[in-house]
Amino acid sequence: MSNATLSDASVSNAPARPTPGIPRAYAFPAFQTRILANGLRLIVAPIHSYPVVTVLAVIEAGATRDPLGCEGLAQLATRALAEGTATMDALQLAERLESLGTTLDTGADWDSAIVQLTSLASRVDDAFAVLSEVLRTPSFPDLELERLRAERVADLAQLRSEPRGLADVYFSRLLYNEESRFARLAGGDEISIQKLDRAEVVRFHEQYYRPNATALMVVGDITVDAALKLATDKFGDWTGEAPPVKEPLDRSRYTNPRVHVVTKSDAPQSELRVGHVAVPREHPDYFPLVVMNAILGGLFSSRLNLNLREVHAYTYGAHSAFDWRRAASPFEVSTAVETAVTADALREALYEIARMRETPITDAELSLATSYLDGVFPIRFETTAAVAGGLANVEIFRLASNYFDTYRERVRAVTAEDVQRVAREHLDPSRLQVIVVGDPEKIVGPLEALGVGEVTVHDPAVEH
Amino acid sequence: MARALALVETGFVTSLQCAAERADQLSRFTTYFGDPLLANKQVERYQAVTVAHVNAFARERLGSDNRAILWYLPANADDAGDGRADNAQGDDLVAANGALAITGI
Repeated sequence: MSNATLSDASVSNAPARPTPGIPRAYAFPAFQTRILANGLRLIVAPIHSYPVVTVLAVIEAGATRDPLGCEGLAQLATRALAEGTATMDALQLAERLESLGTTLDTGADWDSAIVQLTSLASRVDDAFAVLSEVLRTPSFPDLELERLRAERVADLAQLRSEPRGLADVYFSRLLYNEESRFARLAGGDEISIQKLDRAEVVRFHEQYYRPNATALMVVGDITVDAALKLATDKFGDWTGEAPPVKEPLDRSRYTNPRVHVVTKSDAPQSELRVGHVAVPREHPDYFPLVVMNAILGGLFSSRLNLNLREVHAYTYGAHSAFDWRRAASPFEVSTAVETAVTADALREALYEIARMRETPITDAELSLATSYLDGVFPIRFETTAAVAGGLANVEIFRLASNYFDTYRERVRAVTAEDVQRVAREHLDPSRLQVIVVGDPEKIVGPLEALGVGEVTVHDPAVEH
Repeated sequence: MARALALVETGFVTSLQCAAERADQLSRFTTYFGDPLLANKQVERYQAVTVAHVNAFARERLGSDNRAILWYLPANADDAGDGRADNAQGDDLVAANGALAITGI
């Protein structure tokens, strides 16, 4: 028997190969909003493709709510939610979640805390019940809090020992005014974390985990009525009122460009961050800014990556991004380069930022960026968890309810003129802060010679 | 057993929401079993697993004769007397099982 016969036989047994269909139109899942009498917002997106439901709670209990000196409280409280409730200790809670075939994901960023789980639709009633217990009656056992604080201290030690972590720590610290919450770590530092005893965590939870500060996304194989009934059963008798959110100070620390070298002696490469405080997430220029960033440093074929990686071979990758928040958010270019080319890489990064402002982008660049953003949009929302995350962003950033329905047309409407205008308005070379983690002996000279701004050297071993 | 099954089941069904994961599953069942449609029966096949199956598998496959153990030690463990003492039991284990130990990484 010849190979040809074998392969023919296997082909004839297989079903006919399907041909690709015509791309279908895409619509972001329809959703409905209900508000319970206690102020809890319920957003339900029925999607019946798979027997799966994601329930995601967004609570106005992010790191910007941390009291001064108690930085890290919001994140500690969120992590401690999964350590036990009024009726279950940590182990019993873990077993209950496993029985439901689910895991509880918790986390807090600057603007909010998120607690979510995804379960099969057949178990959604129980999943709702567990989520309600976790949010409403966490027990915050002393022993578990102590362990979580110790973990944070270990995380900080790791963060400070590696260049990428150090660069991020110093970037936020030096970008924002010293008085700003954003200048201190979202998860707290070694000093603040020691103050976070059980009384603080309990007080934080009592104050901010309240129905009027909570929005519940229910996405998947469930009807609006069923979700409303579950929410009313499990959260309807939740009481209390959280105070309104006070946005943190978001002023810059410096008004002139500066270079901050963070000492990492004998480092073979330098970790580079360049940026400044930019605009809040909810800004009329959001879409042109997203397209502009894609072209500058968001995509693999972006100008920064082509220049620093492809043309000069300084690095494996150079990126730029806005770290969106409700308050003024940072714009940041990041890369890691060999020590010897540190100043050269900085020069090229600054050149690309300036070029974005000075010369219009080409049609090809615009079309690549907008078709990418337009094209990946449906893929971003394949899962119930992703749709719930998208809806959570609408809540957190208080976006319009038709935000996702108009997203793609707004991306496609961005012009080359828009991109240049927002680059000129929102990228400001006269305020750029440069953070370089590396070996000062080798890089301070070349960085000074570049003449970007005053160069100062920081020693992370002495300044925590 | 019920908890493990619940987690596996949710994980499998949830992952199928992604086109890339569906493609992977079709490819996997075609490559290994010659039948892409087995993907549709996978949940039933998980549900058919019994405690006895799991115990038999563990006895048969997770034996001491096919085990490799890696010890990650601090770089200075070889220089410090107490480091060696701490590792003594580990060395015995490695020797008894005939597995390769890579130390001092």
